[in-house]
Amino acid sequence: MSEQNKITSALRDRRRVFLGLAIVMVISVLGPFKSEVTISEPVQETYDYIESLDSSSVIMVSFDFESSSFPEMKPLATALLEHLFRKQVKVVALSLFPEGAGLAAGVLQRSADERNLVYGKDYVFLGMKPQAQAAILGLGQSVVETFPDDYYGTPLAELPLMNGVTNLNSFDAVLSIADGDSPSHWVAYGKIRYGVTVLAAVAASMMTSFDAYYYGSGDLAGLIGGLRGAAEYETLLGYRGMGARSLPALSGAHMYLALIIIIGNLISWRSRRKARG
Amino acid sequence: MNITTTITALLTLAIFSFLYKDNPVYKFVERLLVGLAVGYSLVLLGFQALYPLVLKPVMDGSSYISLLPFAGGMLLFARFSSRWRWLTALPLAAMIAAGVGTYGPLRLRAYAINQMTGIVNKVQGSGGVEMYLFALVSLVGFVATLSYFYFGRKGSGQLVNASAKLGTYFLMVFFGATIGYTVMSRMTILIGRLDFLFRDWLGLVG
Repeated sequence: MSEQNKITSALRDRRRVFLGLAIVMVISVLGPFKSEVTISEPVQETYDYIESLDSSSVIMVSFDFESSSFPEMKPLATALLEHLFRKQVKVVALSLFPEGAGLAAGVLQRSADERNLVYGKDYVFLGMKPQAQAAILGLGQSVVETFPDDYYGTPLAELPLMNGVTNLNSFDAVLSIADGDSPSHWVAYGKIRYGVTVLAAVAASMMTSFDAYYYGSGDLAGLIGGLRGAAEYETLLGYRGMGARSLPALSGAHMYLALIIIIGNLISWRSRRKARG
Repeated sequence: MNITTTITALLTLAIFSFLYKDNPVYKFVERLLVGLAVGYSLVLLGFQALYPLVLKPVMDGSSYISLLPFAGGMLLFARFSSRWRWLTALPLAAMIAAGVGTYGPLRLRAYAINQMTGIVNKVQGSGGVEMYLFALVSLVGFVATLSYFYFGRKGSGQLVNASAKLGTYFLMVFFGATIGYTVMSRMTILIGRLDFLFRDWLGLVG
């Protein structure tokens, strides 16, 4: 068997490719590697926007993701909540997905507990409403009619933070932490219909849908993407969280996959050349 | 290492076992995940949407208007009966009409108009050469990609065919970037699970 055929048959068994990836990832996760982080413009703008808020500001945080993307969304959510709570900004959270509600409740409570914040006064979790468009348009008219009670069943009138909140215009901004296209709904129905400022933190897979289109057009006041974005934000906040910790593993995985793609293409190119004679 | 973490770790390993080959443990955990997700969603929808928005106002007599959309929603289930299937058309027609009327203009602004004006505003605002270049590439890419989808047919003429060909290159760049980002997303999820296994479960990483 020629050298090329050996490589081809090795790559054809996908388990060998997975094993190689696992080895690279485990070494990267366990090893003492560090990656340098440079701050991109959209992340800096998000940071600057939140930095400009103060303790009188109220921001709506929409946890628009499901459990399958939680490892990617958690570092983003944690870093952004850390910044908001550090600035003593009041947070009114919700989710447009059922699974997101349970995950959001946990992330929100952990971040709030670290700063000894009081539920109902410093932050509120409204819970979940299905049908994103209808929920956002409803919030634009009345928060209390869309969410009569919070996630834990408490009527909104009994929560001090909600006293001055009537509709979307009561918020300084909406921050959508999303693994899908929810920020586009917030732009269409929140910003364009009601004029509220929208920031987004999205999964890396959604970056091409939001970077040039919504951030480039100015519809998004800030944009953070994926683990890399989380690492940038953590760097701005001055701590090393899961985003920065995981960057070496991400780089290792990318290099491995790039190598596999190059080898695969070389084999394909050589086979075609051979076939042509 | 608490019991919850251990159970989560074992479920993660069970899912990973599919990478070697399909097996009964993987199938069990897969079904467990689907069952839990559906059950959790149904309960949450009941407590967060159906009860506060429909049942509670009716039960305390404060409003009965919510019964109207609720009844419309229930008509969607008529599709299971061959005799009453036609009733499904009523709520569907209302949903489409309301959807197009409410969302159409807003989406047109969000998806098209604002993005075009955004480019013009950026060029006007900066006046820099790089912004003119950015606008030019955007315009060429827009026209070329559009001509690929709408005008790239036989007999369309050399100019249109060349533009359509150029459009395919723009599409390839877009798909390449999208796949690259998607790979990044999937790798992040894998890193998240490995981080959980090594840090939270085994305590190997400080």
